[in-house]
Amino acid sequence: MTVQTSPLVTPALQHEIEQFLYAEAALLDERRFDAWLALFTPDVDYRVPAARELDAPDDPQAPRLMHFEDDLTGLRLRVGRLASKAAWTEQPPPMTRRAVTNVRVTPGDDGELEVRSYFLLYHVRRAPAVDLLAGTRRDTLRRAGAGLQIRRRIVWLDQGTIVINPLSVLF
Amino acid sequence: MRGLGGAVTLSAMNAQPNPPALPIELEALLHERGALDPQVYVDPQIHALERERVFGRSWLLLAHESHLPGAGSFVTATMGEDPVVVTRGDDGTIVAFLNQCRHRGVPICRLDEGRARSFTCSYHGWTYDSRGQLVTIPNEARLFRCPVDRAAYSAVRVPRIESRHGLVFGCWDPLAPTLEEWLGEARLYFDLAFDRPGGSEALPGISRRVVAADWKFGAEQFATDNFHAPFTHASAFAALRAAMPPEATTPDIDTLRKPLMQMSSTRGHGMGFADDRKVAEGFGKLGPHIHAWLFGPRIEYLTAKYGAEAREIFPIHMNFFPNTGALYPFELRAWQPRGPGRMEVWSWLLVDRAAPDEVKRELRIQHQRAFGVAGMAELDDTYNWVEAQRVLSGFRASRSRFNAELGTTEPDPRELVIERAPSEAGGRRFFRRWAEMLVGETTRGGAA
Repeated sequence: MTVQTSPLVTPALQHEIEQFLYAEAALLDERRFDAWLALFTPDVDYRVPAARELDAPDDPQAPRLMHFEDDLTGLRLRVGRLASKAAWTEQPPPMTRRAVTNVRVTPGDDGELEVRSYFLLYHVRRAPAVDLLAGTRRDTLRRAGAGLQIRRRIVWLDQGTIVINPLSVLF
Repeated sequence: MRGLGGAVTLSAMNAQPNPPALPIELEALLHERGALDPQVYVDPQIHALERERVFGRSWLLLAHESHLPGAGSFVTATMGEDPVVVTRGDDGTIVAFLNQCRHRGVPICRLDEGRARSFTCSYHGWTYDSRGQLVTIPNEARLFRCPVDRAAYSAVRVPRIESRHGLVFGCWDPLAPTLEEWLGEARLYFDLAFDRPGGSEALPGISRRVVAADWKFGAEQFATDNFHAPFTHASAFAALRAAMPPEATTPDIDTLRKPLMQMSSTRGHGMGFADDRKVAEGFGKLGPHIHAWLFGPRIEYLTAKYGAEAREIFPIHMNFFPNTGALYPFELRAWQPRGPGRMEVWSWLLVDRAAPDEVKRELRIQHQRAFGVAGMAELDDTYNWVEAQRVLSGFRASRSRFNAELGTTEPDPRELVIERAPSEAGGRRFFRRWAEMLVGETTRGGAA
C-alpha cells in the first residue's frame, strides 16, 4: 500500500504548524494560561469525549458524556480557576511536560487546516508517583493575521478510566 | 451493644457464627457520637469485612436502563469489586451475572457495553447465553466423561435485580429487603431526585476515574456535606465571579446561601435539599432553558404526582446507602471500592427524557464544567480526599480521631430526620448504618 500526502502541505507549512503546536505546549507547561487562551478563536469548540472500550469508535459529534465540552467562556472559566489563589490543586501545581509528535496536516475548506497530532503528557504531582497520559488531538486551525488560531479541538485520551486524579491540566 | 444480635439472622451466604474480632471499636459510630476512627479508611481487615457484609448485602447501582436499549444489549459493571455483566433479555427483563467463566475464571465479557447473543470465554471456549446460562462447551462429549451440569456451572447469577425510575440495582443477598424497603422513608427523596418527566435517560457513555481515596470519603460527603463548598470550591466561585457576564450560563453560587435542609435516615441515606421556590431564583444562571424546564414542566409533573410537598424538596446533593450518589439535576454516580484507600468514581449524566434538546445540552455542559473528571468543583473535592488518604498512610495519623460533631443533638429515635443544614447527621447516620452492617446485624432495617 501507499500513503498519500497532500502536495499542498509544503515543508514550510508543516514546519509552521509544528512550531505552533510546540509553542502552545510550552505555554501550558509554563502555566502562561492567558496567552494559551488567546490561541483560540472566539467561536472555539473544544471537546474531550469520555472514551469507552467498544468494538468500534464512537461518533465524536453524537451527544454523549464529555470530560470537556467548552466554548471560549468555558475555557476562560477553567483558566480563571487555575489562576485563583484558592485553586488547591495548584498548591503546588503539578509538574508537566508535553511532548507533541506525529503531526499530520490536511488542508481543509476555506483555508482552514485539519491537524492531527499525538501528545504524551508527563505529570508529577507528588513524587515518586509519575503519571503518563497519551492522546490524539484533531484540531481545526484558522489563519489569523500572520499566525494561526484554533477553531476546533477534539482530544481523545488513551484512557477509558482516567488514572490521573485530580486532573487539573488542559489539553 | 444496642441493636445488635437482632431476631433476623444473617443470610446463609454470609453467616459466620463467630465473627472475627473487629480491628476497631465501632461504638462511637453505632451511637452517632460524632467521633470517627480513620481506620475505617485504611484498615485491610475492615475493607475485607466491608466487601462481604456491606457490598455483599446491599442494593448496589449497576446501570441505567437507557444503556440497555433492547434485547441482547449488555453493559459491564461492578458490585463492590466483583465484575458483573448486566443484560436485557428477549422478554425485556434485566439480569446480571458474574463476569467469570466457571471453568478457570476468565471473564466472559471484556467490553464496556454492546449487543451479544452469547458470551464466549477466551480460554477454552465455554459459551454462555445472554442470561448467563452455560450453553456449549467445545468437544464436550469427547473431552468430558459426562455432560457438564448446566445448572451447577452457569455464570453465577445476581439473585436480586430491581429498577426504580430507570436506575438498575442488584443485590447478592436473597434475604435482603426489597429496594423500596431498603430506601424506607427516604423513598420520597429518591423519587423526587430520579422520577423525571417522560422518564430519565442517561447520555451514552460513563465517566470513570481512579481516585486514591476510600469510597466512604465521597459517599459521606454527598450524604451530608454542603458546608465544605465555600472553602473547597473557593477557586471555582472566584472564577465564576470574575469571568461571567451577568447573562451568561453558569451554576449560581447564590444557591448555596439559600436555606438548605438536611435529610438523614437511619438506613444510611442522606440528602441536602432546599425549597423549590427559593432555589428557582438562584438557579437562574444555570442556563435559561434549564431554568424554564426545572421550574416549569418538571415541577408541574412532580406536584401532580407527589403533591405540593414536592415543591419543598429540590434535591441538591445526596447519597443512597451505600454507594449511590447524585448531584441534582444532572449526575448519578457510584463510589466503587477498589481495595483499602482506593476507589473508582463512575458517573452517568442523567437528563429528563421529555426535556427539549437545548435543556439536555445545557445540562451536559454545566455538568462536565463543574463535576466532570476535570470539573472546576470536582478537582478540589478529589484533591481533598486524595490528600487526606495519603496522610493516613502514617502510623500515628491513622490513629487520630476525627470530629464529626457538627449539628450533634440528642439521639433521635425517628428513622427520618429533617433539619436545617449544615449538619453532619447524614454522615453520622451513614457510618452508623455501615457499622451496623459490619458487625453483622440483620439487613432488614435501619433503626433497631
